[in-house]
Amino acid sequence: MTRRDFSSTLEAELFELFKPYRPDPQAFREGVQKRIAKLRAERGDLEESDAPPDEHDAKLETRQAPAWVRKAASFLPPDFGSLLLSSGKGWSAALLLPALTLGALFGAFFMGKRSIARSMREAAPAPAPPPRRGYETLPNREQRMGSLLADAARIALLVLAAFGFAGSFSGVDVFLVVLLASTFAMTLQIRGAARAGTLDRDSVSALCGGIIFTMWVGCWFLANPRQLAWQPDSVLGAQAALVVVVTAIVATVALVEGLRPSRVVRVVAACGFWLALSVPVLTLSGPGRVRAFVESQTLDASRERAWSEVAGSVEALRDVGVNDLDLSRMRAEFERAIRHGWNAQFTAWTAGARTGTIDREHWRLLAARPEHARRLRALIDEDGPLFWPASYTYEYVLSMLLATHELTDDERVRLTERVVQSWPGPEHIQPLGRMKQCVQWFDLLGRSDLVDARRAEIRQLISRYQVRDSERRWWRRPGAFRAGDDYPTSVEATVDAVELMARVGPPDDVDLRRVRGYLRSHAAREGLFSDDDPVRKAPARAALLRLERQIGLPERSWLEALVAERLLIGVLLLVALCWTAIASAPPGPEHALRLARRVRGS
Amino acid sequence: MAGRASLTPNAADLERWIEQFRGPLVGLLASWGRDWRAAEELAQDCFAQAWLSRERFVGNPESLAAVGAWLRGIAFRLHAVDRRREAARPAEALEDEPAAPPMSEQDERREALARAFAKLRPQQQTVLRMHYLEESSAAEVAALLGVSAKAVEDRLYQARRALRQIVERESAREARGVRA
Repeated sequence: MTRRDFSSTLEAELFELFKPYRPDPQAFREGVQKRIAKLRAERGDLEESDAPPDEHDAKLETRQAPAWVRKAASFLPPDFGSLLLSSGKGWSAALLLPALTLGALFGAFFMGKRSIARSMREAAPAPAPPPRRGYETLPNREQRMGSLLADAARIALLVLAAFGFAGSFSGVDVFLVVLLASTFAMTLQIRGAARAGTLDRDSVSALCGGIIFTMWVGCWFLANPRQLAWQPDSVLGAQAALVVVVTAIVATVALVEGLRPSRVVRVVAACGFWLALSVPVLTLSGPGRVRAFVESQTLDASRERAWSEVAGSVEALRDVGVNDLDLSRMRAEFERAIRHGWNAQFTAWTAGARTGTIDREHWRLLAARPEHARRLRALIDEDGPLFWPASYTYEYVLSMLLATHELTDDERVRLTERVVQSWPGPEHIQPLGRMKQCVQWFDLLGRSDLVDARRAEIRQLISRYQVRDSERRWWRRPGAFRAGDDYPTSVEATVDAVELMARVGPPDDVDLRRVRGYLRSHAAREGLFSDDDPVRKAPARAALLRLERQIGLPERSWLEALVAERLLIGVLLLVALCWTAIASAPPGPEHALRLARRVRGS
Repeated sequence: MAGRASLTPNAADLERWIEQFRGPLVGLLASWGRDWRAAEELAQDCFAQAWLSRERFVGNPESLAAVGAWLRGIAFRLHAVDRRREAARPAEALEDEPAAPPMSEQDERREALARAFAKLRPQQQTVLRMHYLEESSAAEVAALLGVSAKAVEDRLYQARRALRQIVERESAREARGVRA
């Protein structure tokens, strides 16, 4: 049999292999319809079930977008139209400024290029004027205006860096506006110099150097973790822009000074190494890093360190479909602790319960210990809310009970009642964490119907504790979640909210991209070759994985993807403009002399 | 989007989603450790949930990528809830094993193929399940996995090649055993 024959036979055999498991289309469709009817009945969704489908669809349609937006969308290209429709009420605020900034950058590039080309053509040959100081001494109006504008842009950048470093506003668009002003200033000054007859490569290089330096300062500022929170959709981020700028600095010096290529390569390599060490690196989606963290941790049952972080990461990985984790270290540690009768930390047992790494026999051995037997007894016999506030610490007791004891109906009802009593009210602190705990307990007790019944309430609470733009303070980051009305935002509360959203679905008014931005800022590495504290960052990384792979973010159009990378695009455009200006400027006498000396020296 | 009056999913969309994603979704859920029957039921749950929460769907209901990502999210969530319920029985499954390969005892050749299938990497098993259960297109599988159709075709090619090599190796070993 030839290889080709084998392949076609293999295909046919594979189809045959799966044939017994192929769903019957009609039965499958009926199954879906039955489930829809059942879910509607469970939710008490009488209004929907009674309404004819078309009427219901019409009702939904009116919720999506006003008529004028839909009409406007029909005149736009498909991607922009869908963006307009899908973004709803906040589209103008969310996208208009970034899109305008990006458009203005493209406009500035093409107009600047045209203006520079015209200036070069019209440059009047004249001797260089004597050096002078101050705006009023500059030879013409364009140069004075340009110089003033360039200084104003630099001052604006300093103010931006001083006030924006805390991350209380997005620096990207402000920075791009500063760059626009700098570009305008540069073209004005080049135009003025051309008219005055003082245009040469050295003067243009000095002007471009100022702009590139401005870009370097801005990108450095925008690459800090707090500003990363404002760039939730950028894949390359300020880091890539910073690499472009550093490369531009080296290449500009090389272009002007005529450096040898080997030296340029060495300088670029040194700058790249420095950047890799010092600039935070974005955490891109993917379970690889979380998995590496889980499998590399050396856990010690006598210490609290890392147990809850590893358990949370394992749960997140499994929830996104990564099932082949190597948890042998964790199992070995439990085996050791149980065999030797050690009193491990409660968080370790809880981690074992959450990851399923303690088997039934080991639970039996643990349950026989006096302190655990006492807790089991209390769990069954006592009334009132369960264990709060130290619920995480004692969470394992319920798993131990279910693994070692067949609950009677009465016991199950009583335990369920205790969970109901633990359900958070407005007076409780950390309501999201408490709610998450109750949801897990309901699931463990096989009462997920009680979670479904509370779905609206859970979503309302999630929505309530996300910080909106109008509520932001320096201790409250927009997009993140807080543990109470007057509490600051925290990674813990945000992780709780993400886990709840993974369970009951995200509320309509929660901005998932902002959540992603916040989590990315806490999940970023310190540098390419260093990761200072993976245990501390593990919850944010696990939550980010859930958000991107389990909950899922709304699909982005090409326009949104383009706008998200506007910083990099803007920097690339302006670097290209600077190089065009330098390359097209006539070499001045000093520049020519310098190059000639270098050629003779080599 | 062109030619479509409304972006709200309608009954025809649900029908089309079921046709397009039934096979890949059942295959995907089976590769997460469910038996085929449970995977089929959970897939029905996913479509029901998708329909009932259709007002939250963002994007074009005719876009494979948008619908695939949405269904994948729902499948993850429902699978996670089921898994947590199972966690109350820790002795049953300490570690989620890859789903049992589809076994058939009709002939030796198919048995050999099933054995070889079990030796493939989980990612290769997943893509074969999703594609060959209902002869779904690479684009439909790709939409559900969140990768490009080209990536799915590559994975299918690699999986088939690995499968062929395992079968040939096993056959050669058996032949040597018979001669000995």
